[in-house]
Amino acid sequence: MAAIALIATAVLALLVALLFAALVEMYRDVRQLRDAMGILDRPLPVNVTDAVGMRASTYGLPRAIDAADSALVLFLSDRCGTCRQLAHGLTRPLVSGLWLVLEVRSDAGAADFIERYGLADSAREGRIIVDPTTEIARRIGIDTTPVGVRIENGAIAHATTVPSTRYLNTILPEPVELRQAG
Amino acid sequence: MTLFLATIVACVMSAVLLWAALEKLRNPAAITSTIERLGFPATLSRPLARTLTVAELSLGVAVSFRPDHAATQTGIVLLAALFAVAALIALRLREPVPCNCVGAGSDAVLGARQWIALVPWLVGVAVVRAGFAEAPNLETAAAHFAAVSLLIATLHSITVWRSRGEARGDRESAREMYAWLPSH
Repeated sequence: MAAIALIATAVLALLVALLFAALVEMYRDVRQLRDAMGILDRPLPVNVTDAVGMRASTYGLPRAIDAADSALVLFLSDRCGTCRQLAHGLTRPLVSGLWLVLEVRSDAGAADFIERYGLADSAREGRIIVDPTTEIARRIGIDTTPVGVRIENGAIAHATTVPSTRYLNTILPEPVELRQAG
Repeated sequence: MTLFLATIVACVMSAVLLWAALEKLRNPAAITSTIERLGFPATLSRPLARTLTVAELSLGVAVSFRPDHAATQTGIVLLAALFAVAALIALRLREPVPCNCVGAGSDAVLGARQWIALVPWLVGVAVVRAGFAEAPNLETAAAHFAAVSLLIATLHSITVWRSRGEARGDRESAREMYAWLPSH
């Protein structure tokens, strides 16, 4: 009797394994469909050719960025849904090398945005720049949000749209870890 | 000690054979394509693929219940030799032929690997032959079979869980993108 129960368990387990395998196939199909439809983390390059190689401070960004080996300046607006999702998904305090430019209509709107997404500490550290007139973005050549501008060796390297939190996490600057020699 | 080692080896063999059979059941087109690439006509490739799947499934069960039987041991050796011969044909074709030996999805091609794999299969059969003078009792064999099957189901469940996480990330990412698209 025990042997029959064990054999039945084994057969059932193999059937479950087969169903799991079919489920994985289905997940892959769905991913393929998302990819074909272009809704799978597809960032678009933003043309900032005129700004490439220029110091970040030239465009009104903090001078501290000029000294960064690798940094990302993320342009967010309080009028775009994805920007709010990205702000919600940010780690607090902001990771090293990440600066935010908030394009909000008023100082009150900026304060509300910072308060709502728990960014007050980062704002006090000067990591959040409020740009109500979108002057910084306009001078760099950006006319949409959310956009990430990559800084390498203190100079603007390139820019892309940031379609999702997951994509943002892949482009955040890696912190440099120092190890003791020997 | 010999029996313990032989039991472990038999369980591993059973797991590999059952895994390979299940993968072929999941995606029979992959192994059918491999057989066609080896030069077999399309009319033969499908029955051959089915026969191979049934053989792997049968041997995977048989090595749990009748590891002592000459038919089980000979079957495993023949199966390993069959893959080695297929690898030889593939090497003569001078073009990469996807293996699909333990399922589609890997980049492995038929070649030296199947010849190298022949050695552990032969050693495994020798260990099983030396360890099992007679068939294990039905309950013990059934317990081993159940353990192997549950292990396979567990490994598949890990893949499902990972895929679920990935799909969830895709869905949330798409939702964020939808929010962005109208303003773009």
